[in-house]
Amino acid sequence: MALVAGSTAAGLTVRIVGSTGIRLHCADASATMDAVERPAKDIDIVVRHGDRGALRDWLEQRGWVVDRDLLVAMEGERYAFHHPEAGLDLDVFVDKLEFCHTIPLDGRWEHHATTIPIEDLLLQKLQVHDITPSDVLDAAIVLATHDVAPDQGDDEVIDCGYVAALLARDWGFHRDATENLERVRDMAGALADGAQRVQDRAVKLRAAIDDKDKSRGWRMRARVGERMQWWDDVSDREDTY
Amino acid sequence: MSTSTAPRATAPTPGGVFSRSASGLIRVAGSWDVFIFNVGLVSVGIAIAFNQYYGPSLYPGAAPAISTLLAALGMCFAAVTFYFWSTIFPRSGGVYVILSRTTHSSLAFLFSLLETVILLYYGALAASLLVQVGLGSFFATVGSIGGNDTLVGWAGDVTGPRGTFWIGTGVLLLAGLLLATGTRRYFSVQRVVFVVAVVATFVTLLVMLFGSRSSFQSHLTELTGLKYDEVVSTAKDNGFVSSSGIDWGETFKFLVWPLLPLLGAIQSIGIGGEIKKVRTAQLFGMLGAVIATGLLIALFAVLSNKAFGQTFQGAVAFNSLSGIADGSTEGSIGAAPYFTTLAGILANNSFLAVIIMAAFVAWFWFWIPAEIAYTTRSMIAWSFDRLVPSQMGYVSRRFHTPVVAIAIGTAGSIVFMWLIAFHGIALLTLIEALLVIWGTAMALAVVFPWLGKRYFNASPAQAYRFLGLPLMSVTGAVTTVFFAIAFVLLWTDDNAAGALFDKAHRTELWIIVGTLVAGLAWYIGNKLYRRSQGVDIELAFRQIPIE
Repeated sequence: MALVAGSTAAGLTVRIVGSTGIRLHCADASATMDAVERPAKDIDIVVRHGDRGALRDWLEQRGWVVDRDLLVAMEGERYAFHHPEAGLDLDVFVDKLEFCHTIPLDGRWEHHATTIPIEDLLLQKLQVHDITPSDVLDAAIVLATHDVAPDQGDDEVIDCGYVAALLARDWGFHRDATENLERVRDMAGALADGAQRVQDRAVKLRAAIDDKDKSRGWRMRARVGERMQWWDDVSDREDTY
Repeated sequence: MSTSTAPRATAPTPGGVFSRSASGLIRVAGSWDVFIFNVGLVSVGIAIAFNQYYGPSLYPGAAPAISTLLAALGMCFAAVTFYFWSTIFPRSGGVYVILSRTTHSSLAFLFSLLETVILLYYGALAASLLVQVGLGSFFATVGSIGGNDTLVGWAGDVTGPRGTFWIGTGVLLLAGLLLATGTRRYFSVQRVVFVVAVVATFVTLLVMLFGSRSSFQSHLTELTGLKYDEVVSTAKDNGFVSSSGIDWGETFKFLVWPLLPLLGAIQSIGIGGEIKKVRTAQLFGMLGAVIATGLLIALFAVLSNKAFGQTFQGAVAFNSLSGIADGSTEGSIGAAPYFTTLAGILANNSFLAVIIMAAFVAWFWFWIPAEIAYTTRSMIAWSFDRLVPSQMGYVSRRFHTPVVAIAIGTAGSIVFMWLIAFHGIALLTLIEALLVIWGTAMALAVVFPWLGKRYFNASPAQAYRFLGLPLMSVTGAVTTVFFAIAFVLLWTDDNAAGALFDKAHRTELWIIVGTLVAGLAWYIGNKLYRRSQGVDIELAFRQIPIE
């Protein structure tokens, strides 16, 4: 929080993503995640493209040391920092979240002051091709704590229209997200409370996704189907040099 | 945050010395990028140009197609061995990574420095070929076909020393600029150029396939004034020896020429850390590049002989190399009788001539940024290991690319451009040194499964065996022998390279000796300087134990 608040005060647009984002965004998430022993592991943030250089300066002034290896390898598309005194690691994404599937953040910065919008936090979990139980749990927590409805101007409600529109443009993303959504439904029972809410909202979200007209690109890619790889390979982050 | 599948593409690193846990990342190069990178570094255009120019003229009776396949066969073993290395050390930095993790850092640095210098020379060589074989032939043939004397005059101008130097330098600067704008953009541009090269090469293949010997003979006379039979008789009068059948000895000797471009097929070892799914991408990229380009180059050799005739190609190139103006194309249209010139004459059509030249310019282009890119990776790896100042790995805050390393690589190539244009360097002599460097990596592969057991057993390479032996050792041994044979062939063949210690190769000798001496002095000085700062540069290498 202090990181985002400080960088925002410096005029930079920075948002927290990932599990930490879910903890901060969802009022009840921390308690629920603590209950199932899911402590936050590292800090992931995303910065607007134009602010990446200034954010690097800002962080370095505060003792963060940039990872030179990633600096060379990712050419400004991604950064990693380490704080030797605090022993913390910080991953910085730029403008979009690029994993198995890409989540663009154009026009999405103003929805929440600290984290990326709730839809993107959910999509970040649903985009994982080989999803882990903890990712499924994170997605379930988002659904347990946020209602699903078409855009009503309420940033605390998951805009199913936005999610459906994004997936209607990308068959591969749609393929993995819908499958993962089913897994979230199946795993909802693991939550101490709110299992029915998760299932109902997952159904509602799936219905919106199914009802959305698909783009021409989506339909063409659907004809190829699973004969061609539909996700991007995400490597473990090892040194490049 | 978990964002990916379970670890699978890379080998676990014992002790975790080089690993960190963090969010996964999307690496830049996919399988096709690696394939294109390697195919580009083979440069089909350079291979065809050399094969058809030097083969029939200097190696009577040699069959360039068979020589190419022999070289490709040897390179298949090299590709598999380098593939194993790249799965064990999936990092960028080329042969430096292999040698620094398996031998002493001083040897790794010296050999890597020499490799860098050599590859920068070949980057410059490609730029010179782009001008002389690509642009020169383009102006000559299109000018002749269209009856445009200005274009024909340009052919002579651009292929002269000044034209070659300035245009070549412009091409090198363009390549450096492209790399400075980012690897992603570089790969995007290469994909487009690859499509152009493949389509234009296919058109060239059709021209060769449907073009007859008789039409070539008549076009030759029409466009250049040369008579097919007279070219041959002129060459014979001046000492050219032709052979009616295949001379297997000459064919074997000639394999060093197609080997030069084919060596490029494994250079994705230089970008190993930037490749997605290194296990499949490197195998597809390296082995696929050797096989695909080997077959394509051999096919062109067969079609060239069909359309132009082996004896004629030998005779006209012999006249060209001997400076017999009235027996070659230089005297009439200002361009040497490289394949591009002959194919343009065969086509006798401005549009087709443009397509043929586009194919070859695209192939020549591939070499240039790729060679510079490879060398920048080595420089960055040295920088990270503190063997050179950290500034060499400096990443521009504006461009987000290692601009210092790119600038050094580009500047080094321009120096070689000057040497090539104004002084001349034997084409393949430096390959002798490259074979020693890469051959060392191949010889180490033979023993690595035992000396580096922990790493080997933790890598995908350990799963491959042949007669109970690690396949890496077997392919490493075969490649070592192959490189040794190629070295001897080069050393004893004055047409290709010759002994490095000959008087004729003083420039090349000084380049190699000078690089090694300067590198050693730098290494020792840097080590002492770092020690005075309390930094032991050996520490980084000791963290990977050889058992």
